[in-house]
Amino acid sequence: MIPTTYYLIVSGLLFVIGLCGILIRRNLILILLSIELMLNAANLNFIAGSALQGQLNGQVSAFFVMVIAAAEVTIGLAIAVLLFRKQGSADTDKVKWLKG
Amino acid sequence: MELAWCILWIPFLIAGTIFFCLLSRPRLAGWLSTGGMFTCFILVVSLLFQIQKNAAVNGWVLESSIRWIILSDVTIEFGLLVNRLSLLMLLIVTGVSSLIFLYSTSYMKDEPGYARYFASLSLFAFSMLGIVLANNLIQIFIFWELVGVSSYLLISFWFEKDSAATAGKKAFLTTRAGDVGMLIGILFLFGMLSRQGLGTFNFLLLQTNLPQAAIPAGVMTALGILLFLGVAGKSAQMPLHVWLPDAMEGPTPVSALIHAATMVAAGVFLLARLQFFFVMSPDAMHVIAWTGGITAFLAGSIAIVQNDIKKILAYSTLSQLGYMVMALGLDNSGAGMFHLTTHAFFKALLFLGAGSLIHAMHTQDIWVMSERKNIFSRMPVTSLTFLAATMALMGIPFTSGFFSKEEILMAAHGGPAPLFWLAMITVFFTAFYMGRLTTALFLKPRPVGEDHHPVHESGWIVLIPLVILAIFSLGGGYLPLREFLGVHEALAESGSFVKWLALGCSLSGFLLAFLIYSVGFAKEFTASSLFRIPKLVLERKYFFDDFYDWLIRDVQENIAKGLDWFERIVIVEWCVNGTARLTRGVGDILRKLQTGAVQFYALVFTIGVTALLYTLILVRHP
Repeated sequence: MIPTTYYLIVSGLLFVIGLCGILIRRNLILILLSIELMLNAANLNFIAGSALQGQLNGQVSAFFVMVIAAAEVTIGLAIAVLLFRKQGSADTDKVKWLKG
Repeated sequence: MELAWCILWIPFLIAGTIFFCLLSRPRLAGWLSTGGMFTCFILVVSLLFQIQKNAAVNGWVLESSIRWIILSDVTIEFGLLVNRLSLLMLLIVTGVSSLIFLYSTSYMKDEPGYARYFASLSLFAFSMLGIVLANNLIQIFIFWELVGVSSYLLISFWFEKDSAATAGKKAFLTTRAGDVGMLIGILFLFGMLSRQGLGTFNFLLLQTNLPQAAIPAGVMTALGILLFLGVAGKSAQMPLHVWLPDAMEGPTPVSALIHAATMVAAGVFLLARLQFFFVMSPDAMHVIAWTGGITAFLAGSIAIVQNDIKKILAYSTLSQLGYMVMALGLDNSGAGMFHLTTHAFFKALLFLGAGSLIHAMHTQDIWVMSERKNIFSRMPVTSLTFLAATMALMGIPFTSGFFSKEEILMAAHGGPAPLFWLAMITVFFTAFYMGRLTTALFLKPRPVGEDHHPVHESGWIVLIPLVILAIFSLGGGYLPLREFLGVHEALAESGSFVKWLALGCSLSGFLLAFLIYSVGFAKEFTASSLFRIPKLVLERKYFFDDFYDWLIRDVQENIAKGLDWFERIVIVEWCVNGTARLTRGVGDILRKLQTGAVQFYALVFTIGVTALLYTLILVRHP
């Protein structure tokens, strides 16, 4: 059996990759993908923990996260579509209407 | 008891009718309210006979009430309590009021505010009857305030005149100062009683509950003094007496009704009504008795130097009220109420007579009056009735004042010696200022002949009340009042000593005044510098008004200025505007962080969370 630590390392890597994607990429679609990546990193953590303890609650949480991810993608893509219609690109650098 | 309810509400209905329907029909308004008042008087008399007839069965104390305000642990009633005391007050209030209403219909006939005047008078009668009939403390307090309001309306009747408007305000505010104490006292008393499960406002219940309740003596004294503050305000006792002389700015019949016969008697009435409560605190009784005695003395001495006929009578009223309060403070309510009754007759008469004189001569200054000729022969009824009232006030034997004043002096004789001598000197003062007034009006020699515009007697509507009141002033001592109130006749040895001493003081005071002001006796002596200082003190009324002036103009005004500064600078400028400025300044700095770039926010968020996590981990595992 693979030790739990490995899972955690993979999950951490996925999370950091996602985070970097959010911070660095300028395309809204790719930012959404990165968010998915981070959510799945969390899912991996849940499942690893669940397997380690031999209990089911970690897996149940993973399902919740998936549902939330689906909802989030729905809204995120809708925003991306609207943004694209408004300014002809999904570039987030141009979205600074809330500058104080 | 239906009669009593009618007596209470008739004047109220009349006042309402006039205020809302009859302001443009002054004649009708005048006769309506006069008729209403006479009806009340007749109802009171029939109530008296009815109660007397059934006294064997029902006794002299009747109560009728409805529950008015019902709260979880206290019920406030609205009810009437009729006993000997309130019957007597009812007779005085309705009787004297009827006569004064009648007098006013003629005296005020050229006034533009005639209907308003009668509406206010009726409102006043209603409030006063409410005080007399109330069966609990809350109700009496409500009517107490109503009396203040109607008195305000009547004092500032000529509101376009500055002095009248100011006098009304002064009366309202000064009595209010006392009423605050009274309200605190009432609630405090209720609180003390309800702590022991005996809480009530009802007079009869209070009478049974008070002796059962264990209230500490100190608290009892405080309660007594607090309630007495209300009395001192309404009955114009020192140091809250300053409003009464100023209240003479109102029409003369108002001075007669409110500021001599009835309203100022409300305080004395309250003392008598709550006598069972006040006697439980000997210290409060001492305060009351001394306040009364000192008021009698001070006011009597001030009256000596006044030149306005109404002011003289006003200070005389103060002085006589002091007598009554003193008698009640010495636990002799019978004497106090007896004097209240006779005083109502002769002081109302004095004011109405003064009104008639002022009407004839168009001045209130007694020295201007003293230059008019043939006052006595041209105004015989006014003059004779005025003299009758003067005699009663001085306590000349067999007039009503003689009997009642004797009762009071007897009560004082049983009290502390200094108080008795204070009262005795006041007898001298009373005779002196009345002697001065009488000398100026009638006795001072003046050249023979006729005036350019001779004075003329008033009409018969004015004279009838004068004659009726004169009869009562002279014969009031023979009314069976003492039996009615259960006063025991002043007695034997010390009695005759007090009697002769009072008579001596009275006559010598009158004689001295006559000699000084008529033939100029001891002129050099009275003009000497020895007399200057006491005269100044008296003319400035013992500096009470100056003191209040200083208190308000300098002390209160400066405190107000300080508070105003505090409010404008500290609260508004620093606290309110300062907070706004701080918020705006901080916002100006922080808005720079709001770049609008979402990813910048995400970066900051990441750094923050990471830092937080590291800190947590470091704290857990150093």
